[in-house]
Amino acid sequence: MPNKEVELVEQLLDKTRARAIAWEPTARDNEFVSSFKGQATFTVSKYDDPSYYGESFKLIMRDPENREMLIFDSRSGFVALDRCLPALYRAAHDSALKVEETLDAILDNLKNAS
Amino acid sequence: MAWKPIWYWVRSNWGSLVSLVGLLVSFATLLVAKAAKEAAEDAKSEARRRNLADELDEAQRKTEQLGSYLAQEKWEIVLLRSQEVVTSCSQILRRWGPEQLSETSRDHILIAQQQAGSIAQVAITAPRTKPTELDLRRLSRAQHKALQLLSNETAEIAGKIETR
Repeated sequence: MPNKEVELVEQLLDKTRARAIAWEPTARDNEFVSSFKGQATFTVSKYDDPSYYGESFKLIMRDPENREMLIFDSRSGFVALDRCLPALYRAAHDSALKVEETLDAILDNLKNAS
Repeated sequence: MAWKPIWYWVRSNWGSLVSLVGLLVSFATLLVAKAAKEAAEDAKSEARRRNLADELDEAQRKTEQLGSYLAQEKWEIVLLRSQEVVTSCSQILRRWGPEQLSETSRDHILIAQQQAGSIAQVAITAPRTKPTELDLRRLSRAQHKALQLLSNETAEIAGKIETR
C-alpha cells in the first residue's frame, strides 16, 4: 500500500481527534460520514466479515459525483490499516455521537449534585 | 460688452472647443457602456443564482417526499427518491463552482448527498429484511439531516437573490 494512502488515514485520525474534522451518523448502523472542503466525502464503517473472527472496518473516499475513489479495508492485509482504521472508526463514532461532550456534561452534573 | 472678447476667443479656438466636446461625449459614452455591461453581468449572475436556487429547491422537495415515503415504509419509492436526491446533489456540485457555492455550502450538499445515499442502501435490503424500530429512527434522522442541510442552502441562495 502506498505511503500516501496510509498517511491519509493517519491524518484523518489526527484531525478527528483534534476535532478539526466532524463526523455524522448515517442511516446505516455503525457508519459515519464526513466531508472535506467541499471536495470529497469519507465514510467509515464497522461490519462483520464471516471469513474473519472479530470486527472489520472500512473507509471509502468518494468524489462530489459520489464515485468511489479509494477504499481501505482493515482486512486487506496491511498492518498499518489494521491499526489505523479501528482507531479512526472509534474516533469518528465519538465525534458523531458527541461522546466526550456528553461525558463532560454528565461529570459536571454529578460533581454539582454531590 | 463683456461677451465680445469671449466671442473672439471662441472664434480663434473653435477647433479646440469641438475637440473638447468630442472628448466629453466619448467619455460619457464610455461611462454608459460600462454601466450597461455591469448591469448585464449582474442580470446574468442573478439568473444563474435563480437557476441554482431552483435546483436546490428541487432537491429539497425530493428529500421532503422521501420523508413521506419513509413514514409509509414504501421502500421501492424510498429507493427511487433517495437515488434522485443523490443525483440532484451530484449535478448541483458539478454545475456550480466556488463563485456560486462556498466551501461550506459544498460540504453541506455533500453530506446531504451521502445521507440520501445511505438511505438508498438501507432501502435496497428493506423489502427482504424488514427494518427494525432502531433502523427506522436512523433512517428518519438521516432524512431529516439531509432536508435540513438542503433547505438551509436553498434559503441562503434565495436570501442572496432578494438582497440584490
